[in-house]
Amino acid sequence: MSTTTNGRSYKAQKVIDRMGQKLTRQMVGSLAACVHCGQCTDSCHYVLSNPGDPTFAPAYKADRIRKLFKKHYDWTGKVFPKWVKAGTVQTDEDLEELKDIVFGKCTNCRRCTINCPMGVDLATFNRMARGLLCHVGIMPEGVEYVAKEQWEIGNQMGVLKEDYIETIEWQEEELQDEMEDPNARIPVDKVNSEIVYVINPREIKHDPRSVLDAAKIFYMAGADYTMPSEGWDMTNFGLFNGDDELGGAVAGRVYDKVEELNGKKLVISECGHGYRSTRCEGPNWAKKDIAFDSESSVITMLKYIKEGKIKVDKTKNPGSYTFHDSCNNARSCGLTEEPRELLSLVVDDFREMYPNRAENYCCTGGGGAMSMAEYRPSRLKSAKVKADQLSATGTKTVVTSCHNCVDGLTDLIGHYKLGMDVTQLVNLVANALVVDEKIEENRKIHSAETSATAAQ
Amino acid sequence: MSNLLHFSSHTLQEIALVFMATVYFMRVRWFLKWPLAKERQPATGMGDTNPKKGARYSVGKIAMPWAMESSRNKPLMYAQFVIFHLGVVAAIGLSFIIPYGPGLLKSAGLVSLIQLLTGAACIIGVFRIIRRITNPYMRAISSPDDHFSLVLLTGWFAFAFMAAPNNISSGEGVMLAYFMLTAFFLVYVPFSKISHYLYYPFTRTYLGRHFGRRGVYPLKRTPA
Amino acid sequence: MEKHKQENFHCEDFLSDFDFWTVDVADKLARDSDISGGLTESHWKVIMYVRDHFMKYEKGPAVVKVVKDCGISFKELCDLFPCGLVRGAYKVAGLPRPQGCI
Ligand code: SF4
Ligand code: SF4
Repeated sequence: MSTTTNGRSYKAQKVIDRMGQKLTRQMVGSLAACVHCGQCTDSCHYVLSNPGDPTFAPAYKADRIRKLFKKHYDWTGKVFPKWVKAGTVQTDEDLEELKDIVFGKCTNCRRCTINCPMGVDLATFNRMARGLLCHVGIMPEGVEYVAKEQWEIGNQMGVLKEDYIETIEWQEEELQDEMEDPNARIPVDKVNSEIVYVINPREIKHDPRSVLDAAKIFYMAGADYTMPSEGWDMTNFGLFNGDDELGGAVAGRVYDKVEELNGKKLVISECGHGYRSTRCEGPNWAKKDIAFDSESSVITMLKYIKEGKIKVDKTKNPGSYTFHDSCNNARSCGLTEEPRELLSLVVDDFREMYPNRAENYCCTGGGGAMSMAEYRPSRLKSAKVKADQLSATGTKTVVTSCHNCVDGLTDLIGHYKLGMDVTQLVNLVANALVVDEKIEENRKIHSAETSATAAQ
Repeated sequence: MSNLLHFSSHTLQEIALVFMATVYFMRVRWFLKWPLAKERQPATGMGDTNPKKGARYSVGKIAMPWAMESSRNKPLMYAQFVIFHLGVVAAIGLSFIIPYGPGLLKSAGLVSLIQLLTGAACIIGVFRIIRRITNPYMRAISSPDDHFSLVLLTGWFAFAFMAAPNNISSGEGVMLAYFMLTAFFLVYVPFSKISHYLYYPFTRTYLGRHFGRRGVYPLKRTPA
Repeated sequence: MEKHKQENFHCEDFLSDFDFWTVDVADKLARDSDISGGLTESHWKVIMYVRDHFMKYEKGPAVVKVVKDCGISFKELCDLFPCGLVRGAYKVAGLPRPQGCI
């Protein structure tokens, strides 16, 4: 390991120097204001699932980052370091240790944030710390891999363009079969559309049913929409690895494509971190104000039902359901009421879990944790509180508006043998669709429009 | 009154106060130099809120124990917090009343009130010291400053309690100790976690604006 | 079977070492992923296709490839592997757990 003149490794020095450039006033406030009151301790699912281990306490984890701030950027820590627990990083091993905390012991879920009386937002400076480490190449292998795919191929699962197009064509055939309409289309790159629909690569790579379900809904509603051939990945690993440049580049690709196609509105499929990244943080990262509107597909589907564009029949979805709020949707974007309203329209037996909405517990696979194989055992152990919360509802199926939560929940349901299913609103809405005259009309409009554009 | 007591209750306090104000001024200036993160994100969430409303709610949370799970589920902790901080107000108030408005202390009611608050705060302080030392979670997150500040405050409450009647007929020891401690306190505070209230309006406002824009604050809850 | 000790399985159930895969291991993995009747010829077709693809590209194939090249429908794939493409077919074929939101 090469070291700088003060005996510190180059990487450690870089982390310290870069921190000064990355700190915002909001973060400095959060770093300076903690009074170590401990009120946040049992808001964290890691603490609740690992009783007796104080190293999971949010304030304890925060102090691993805070010590650097105190030592290098706050003069009380410069003058009396021991007194205020200021400290530094000297070696690459120190950085590895920090990595295990900022990536392995916190999902950036922000539950401690809303429970801190002082308004300390650990998740935000934890993300900043992740960014500092990634910048010097210290990060979990999976995070590095996925970030690279997103930089290079343009989507986080390395899906090639031909596979994407082929999948859409395949789903289009399925749509035609199911709707018994050879003119049914899933338009790609149609200019001037009302809606540009972007998705999670998981939907292409592993399970295209949600693509088909969304297509059915758009078809029935007679929607003027398109899926873009590029910039279609609305997920964003920049949120997880703390790299604003990656975040800006990935979100920027989506924005550019919508502008190129002159789309009126960007609709983002059900994915918590994708929604947050593309709708909220993206403009900040890309340093760009976006002119078009954007919304979650949950809101689009709800509008269709309310406006009578599609009709649904709850009895088509028998069984009991509960709803899991994704942290990014609920706690960071306030998307709590619309999914409930929609769910109540498409199922009969909906039971809340407690706590819920912005106070819900993380699926325990948030913050990119699904891609960090090395922390998986600890993640599943820390999912105990979530498992208890799910089983207390006594329902058969948990519904969520986040692809990442689907996988996080599936993992923990398997691990704790809860025997529950996980599904998303798009699947339930598509399943509940019914056809009536008005809708027949919509269908005709849709297929006339799309076949016209196809003929162009 | 001895010269020493007069000096410590007047001049010494004033010097300490000026010192504190200077350090605070520097501190706030330092804080405001950090760049404020710019928010370009379009509003999300329910449209019935906005950054202003979020900020008001966020700052007002201090008086809404039901609005935060951590205080809702631990009402005793919240009560402790309120009394402890009222004790601080009483003890600080006393340090101004004695030198500048001793007449007020002729009212037995005011003296009892101050004694009630500082006395209760002192007892809570003792509990908090015990909690910080015995609870493994609290011990893990505490720094020497946290421990020292708490002990300092608890001791200071005790002297405020004894000094409240403003009676020096049986010796000036208590009064002297109280004022010396107050002066030390004023000088120490800006360097310690006790100065958290300086950041409080900022952190809560920033968070409130952010969550207001996102439709998260005010929090929505189903009646549980 | 001696070979597939616990440390060769990471992520609880996925195989960590692609080369540790044997027919026996596949049988065990199949039991773990709710394939009750044992592996049939149709299973093997998918499994070998997935393994082939991984050897060539170091990645599992997209579902569209599996369906088209093995000549089955998505529904048939789900019937063969109730846990889906990743937790079913990839896993039984001995692929490591893929990265990303899965
Ligand atoms: S609740 Fe806030 S102030 Fe208290 S220990 Fe946690 S982060 Fe610090
Ligand atoms: S952000 Fe979530 S996971 Fe991280 S410390 Fe806070 S409560 Fe725990």
